[in-house]
Amino acid sequence: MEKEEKSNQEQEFKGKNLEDVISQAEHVLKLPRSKFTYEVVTEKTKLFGIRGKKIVIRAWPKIEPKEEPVAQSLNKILSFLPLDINYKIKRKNDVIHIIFEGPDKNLLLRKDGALLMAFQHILNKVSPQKVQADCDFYREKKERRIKEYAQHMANQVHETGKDEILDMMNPYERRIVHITVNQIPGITTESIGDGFLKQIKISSLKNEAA
Amino acid sequence: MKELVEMIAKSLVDNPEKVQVSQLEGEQTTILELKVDQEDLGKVIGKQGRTARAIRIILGAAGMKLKRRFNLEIIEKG
Repeated sequence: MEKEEKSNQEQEFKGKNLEDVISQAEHVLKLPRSKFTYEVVTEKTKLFGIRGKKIVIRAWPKIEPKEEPVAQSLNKILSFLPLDINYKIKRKNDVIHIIFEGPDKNLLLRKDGALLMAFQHILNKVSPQKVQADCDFYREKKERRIKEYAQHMANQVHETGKDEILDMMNPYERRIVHITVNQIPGITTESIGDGFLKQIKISSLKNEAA
Repeated sequence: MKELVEMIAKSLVDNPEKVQVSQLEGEQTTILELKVDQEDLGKVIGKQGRTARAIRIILGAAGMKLKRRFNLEIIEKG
């Protein structure tokens, strides 16, 4: 059961079989097996005899990806919250995606995802990278709903030629509306108002020409 | 909840050592008074109060679960 110290990080373990050496490594590195990486150095299959070491592995702790600051803050927030929610964290093109799950996820989605967006806002303040929070395909559903609403209103303007003013929307929602509506020829959009929430006016270009 | 507000506020400000939260228990409501360094006031309030609102929403969700109302007051020192 001797172990050689290769470096601070990397250590060798010898034992009877793989299971045996991995549990040794868990014990010595004080990490569960999911938190370290290992490679098999030698493996000798002996047909007879119990003597001798048959397998040698080299193991070292896994290097965790760098989403730590966000995860740390979120873990702290969740530890103080009496809510039963957990999350998965993914990184895609410099954006950190946090997908919430758990028995209390309905609380996240109440009032048009108010809590979900609150978490997102706070985490974006803490993180140097952009953070997007999601739960139960909230974003996808919302995007689809806004697109349908925008399309409906745009068609109405197209038919009647009368301007329509949409509900108050945040920049993300307005972006979807502008993109959707401007795909329809003969119609234009304009944001009106001030501040974080603004309204969008959809108008027909025919009127202007006339 | 005091710890929650304290932790969130500390993660947002430049001077975490100046963050103070006091908790006043009422019959149905708990008032949380948050004090931060004058320079950090904007950080906990946010543009158009967005950050303050986000903290209040988080408190609101906790309150739903605990059946208690939590009120966040951000104290401006005169």
